[in-house]
Parts: sequence; C-alpha cells; structure tokens
Amino acid sequence: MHEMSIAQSLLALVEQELQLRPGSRCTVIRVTHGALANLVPEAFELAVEALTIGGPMQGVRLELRLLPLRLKCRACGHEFEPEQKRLGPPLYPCPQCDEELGHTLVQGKELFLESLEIETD
Amino acid sequence: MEIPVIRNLLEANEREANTLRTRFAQAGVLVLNLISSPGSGKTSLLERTLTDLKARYRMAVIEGDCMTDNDARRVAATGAAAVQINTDGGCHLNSAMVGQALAHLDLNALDILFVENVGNMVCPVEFDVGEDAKVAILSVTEGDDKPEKYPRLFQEAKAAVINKIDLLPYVDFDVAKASAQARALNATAAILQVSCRSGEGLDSWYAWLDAALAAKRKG
Ligand SMILES: Nc1nc2c(ncn2[C@@H]2O[C@H](COP(=O)(O)OP(=O)(O)OP(=O)(O)O)[C@@H](O)[C@H]2O)c(=O)[nH]1
Ligand SMILES: [Mg+2]
Ligand SMILES: [Zn+2]
Repeated sequence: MHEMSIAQSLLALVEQELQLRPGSRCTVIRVTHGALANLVPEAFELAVEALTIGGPMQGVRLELRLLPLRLKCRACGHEFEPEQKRLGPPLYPCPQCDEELGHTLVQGKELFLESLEIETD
Repeated sequence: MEIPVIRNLLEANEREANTLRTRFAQAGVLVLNLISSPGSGKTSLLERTLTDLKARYRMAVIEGDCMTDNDARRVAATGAAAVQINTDGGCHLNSAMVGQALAHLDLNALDILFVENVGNMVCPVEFDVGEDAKVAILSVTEGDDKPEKYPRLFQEAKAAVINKIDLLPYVDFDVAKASAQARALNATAAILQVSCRSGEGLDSWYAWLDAALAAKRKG
C-alpha cells in the first residue's frame, strides 16, 4: 500500500546523501519504524527492490528496526510497553496502577532513515 | 563505512503540509481530513453537511478517489465546489496532491474545506495534508473492533463519527464497545453517533463543526 511511496522518499533521501559523497555506493540502508507507523516489512522490501532494479543501487540491503509501542500512564506517569497480546477492550492497562484511559504516546510513530553503509572507490 | 543520517522518511510530505497549514491559517479556513474504510459514508456525510449548513458556512471539498469522479459529482450536486484528485490506484492523498488541488479553490472565500481521503484506515493517517483535524468515520456494518484494529487513526482523530446507526437493530455492532475502545486510545476525541440516512445525530456533528471552527478562529 503506502510502502511504495515511503520507499520512493527513502531512496530520494539516500540519493541526496550519496551526492554529498561523490564516488560512493550504498550497500545497506537502515530504517527505524515505530509499531504505529504501519510499515509492512515485506511490502517495503519489495518496493525498494522494485525501485532499485537495474540502477546503481540494485541489490542494496534493507535493515529494519522496529520500535515497540511505548505509553506513559495518565494517572501515575509510569512508562510501559503494552504487551502485544490483546485481552480485548479496554486496551493497554497500566502495569503499575491499572489505569486504562488517556495514556500519552511516548514512542511508536517514528519512521526514519537511521544510517547508511557506504563503500567508496 | 557506516554513516549516520537520521532523516524522517516523510519529511518531504511534512514540509509541504506545513506550507499548506500556513496558507490555511492565513485564510482562516478550517480543514478536516475525513478518513474511513471504503463505504463507511464519507461522501454521504459530506452531502448532508453541505446541504444542511449551506446557509451557515462557505464550504468546499477535495475528493480523493482511486479511479472515478463519482464522489466529486455527488458533492458538486449539492452546489459546493468540489475538486477531484485521482490517485491512480494510490492508497492515500499526500500534501503535494492537496497543494495542486488548491489551485482550483479560493481559500479566502471558504470557511471549511473538507478533504475526503481515499477509503482506507491505514495509509491516509501517515500523510499529513496540513489539516486541522482528522475525522475518523466508521459505520455499524463494519466490525465494532475497528478502533482496536486501527489504533493510530483513532489515536489521532479529533472526532470519531459512528455512522449508519439507523441499521443498529439489524447488526450486532456494539456501540458501547467501539466507543470504549476509541476512548481508551484518545481521551479527548468527540465520539458522535449519526445516521446520514435518517439524519439522526447529525446535530451533534454540526455542533462539533461549529466548535472546531470557532476554536480555529480564536487561534
Ligand atoms: N443505511 C444507511 N446507509 C448509509 C448511511 N450513510 C451512507 N450509507 C450508504 O452507504 C454506502 C456508501 O456510502 P458513501 O457515502 O459512498 O461511502 P464513502 O465512505 O464515501 O465510500 P468510498 O468513497 O467509496 O470510500 C452508500 O450506499 C450510502 O447510501 C447511513 O447512515 N445509513
Ligand atoms: Mg466517498
Ligand atoms: Zn499508571
């Protein structure tokens, strides 16, 4: 779905970085994505592969790092990572005080290019 | 050699969205990004709103549609300005597309600009188009676990509209359950129940629009 347009933005950023370093080639791209960024790794890898085929970045490896959802409890301020397993609603009770509502999101929406592995001739 | 970069993958979209947000603020127009799965009633809600509030507000619509201009024609039939964006199969609108659509609208002659996003509850949430608020729409013919399945949308939307409540007697949609899930994800969002068929509950949606526009004007 939207993995194709995110892959396009990613490759545009990588190209900008490579232009700053003439004669260099990118071999690995590291991307960090939060659990709420809705990035499907397989679809993203496929999109990057499709967009680089036949070009100078063909065969580039994608390394994805997933950041889990992290919430801060509205009632007691405790920060926690809710379990993946859902017990049905209400969602995400605080492990410290059981408050279920109104937590703020501390981590989970990130979607960024973290680093590149480059080779220079 | 490893080189650290740290650049937001959506930075190009977000930069353009911020430019749009400034333009919207200068014109004092409230911009709402309507997001739902296909068929939940985005266009129906717009048809109702554009008709019922015609005398109160100057409104226009940007219609995102994969292929057709059906929704833009339905909206135009109410007399409101409608600009069609064909995403050519793309699953969401982005800020550049909305920026292009603005060439066909006079922002200074508007109070509210609605953006009907492509029907899908995932991708449109990622792409800021400079809106003041996202509005999530779900209908009672879908599962009542939508908020749980699409937490990002319900976490960000400032209003969640539950549509097609005229059908509640015929379906097993649990309004209390869906509302509790939405509430758990967002403690301050308005949760509204409406029927675009019977008109029931639309008053609460119009009151929400009044309040949102007043808040925008106050800055
Ligand atoms: N019974 C009932 N039907 C409704 C209601 N609102 C919309 N519908 C019907 O639901 C169908 C889809 O409505 P649309 O308004 O086209 O939905 P949409 O979200 O714009 O759909 P897409 O643009 O295709 O994603 C239409 O047949 C509407 O007549 C409602 O409140 N009650
Ligand atoms: Mg529609
Ligand atoms: Zn707590």
